Amino acid sequence: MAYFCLNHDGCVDLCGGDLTQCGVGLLDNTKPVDEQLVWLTGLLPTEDKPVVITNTQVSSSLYIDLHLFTDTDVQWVVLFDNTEAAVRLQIAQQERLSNDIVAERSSCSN
Amino acid sequence: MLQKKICMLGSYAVGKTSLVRQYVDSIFSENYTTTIGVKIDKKTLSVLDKDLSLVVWDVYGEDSHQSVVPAYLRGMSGYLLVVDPTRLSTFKSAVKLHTLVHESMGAKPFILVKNKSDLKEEWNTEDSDIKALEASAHAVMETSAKMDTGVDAMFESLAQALISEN
Repeated sequence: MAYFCLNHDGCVDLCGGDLTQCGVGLLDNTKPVDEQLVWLTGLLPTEDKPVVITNTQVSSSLYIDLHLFTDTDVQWVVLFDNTEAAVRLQIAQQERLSNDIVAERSSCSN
Repeated sequence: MLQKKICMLGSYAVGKTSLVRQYVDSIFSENYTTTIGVKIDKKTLSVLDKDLSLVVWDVYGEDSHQSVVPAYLRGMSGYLLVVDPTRLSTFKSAVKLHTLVHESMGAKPFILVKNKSDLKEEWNTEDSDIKALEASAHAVMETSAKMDTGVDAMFESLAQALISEN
């Protein structure tokens, strides 16, 4: 898990947790964070409603869940490593959809 | 540089990921690998004398067990709505996704993408759902991720729409 909170310019004010494990390298706190982390483009600020985006594949071997919310005017970004669950889901979904495609093709040819 | 988020939307197995892989990495695989959640790529291009960075959200496909969640669309400037004309069910999914976008964030420029043009002899094109979508799209394009035809043009067409809106 990792987190950072942002100032009004969208730059990192405070960060913690295991940023590297969540696919975040060194952050420059003089630049808006969505210019450094491409997957944040368009998501910030969240204003009133929290936003949760699950299973964001940030590298070939890493899926994270993004939790974005504001608390007393402070923008928070909280990341959870969800790779294990995502890989299990991928295996199950792959089998299900592969079977669905076969069934669809069979019903078309009948 | 201008940076815009776009989404690949459509039913499962229409070729969304294949189109992105062809565009970003110039590769294609015949093997179907389902997408979980979203995979995000970035590509910079020059359109109408302006440099634009496209942040491409390749979102998981609609199927009978799951629908696209509006959160994935957040901050999107436009989208590529992909169908597989060899499978009529993908047209209904496309209509549903177009409605979802409209209800979540209002009208956004989109390209209706008829993928798998290498299988054109198997296409079903006489469908009222798809005709209605064609009328509201910024452009309708035929592509083949496998043969790498129309792929660059598809992204460039959407980029032009985004630049013009800007």
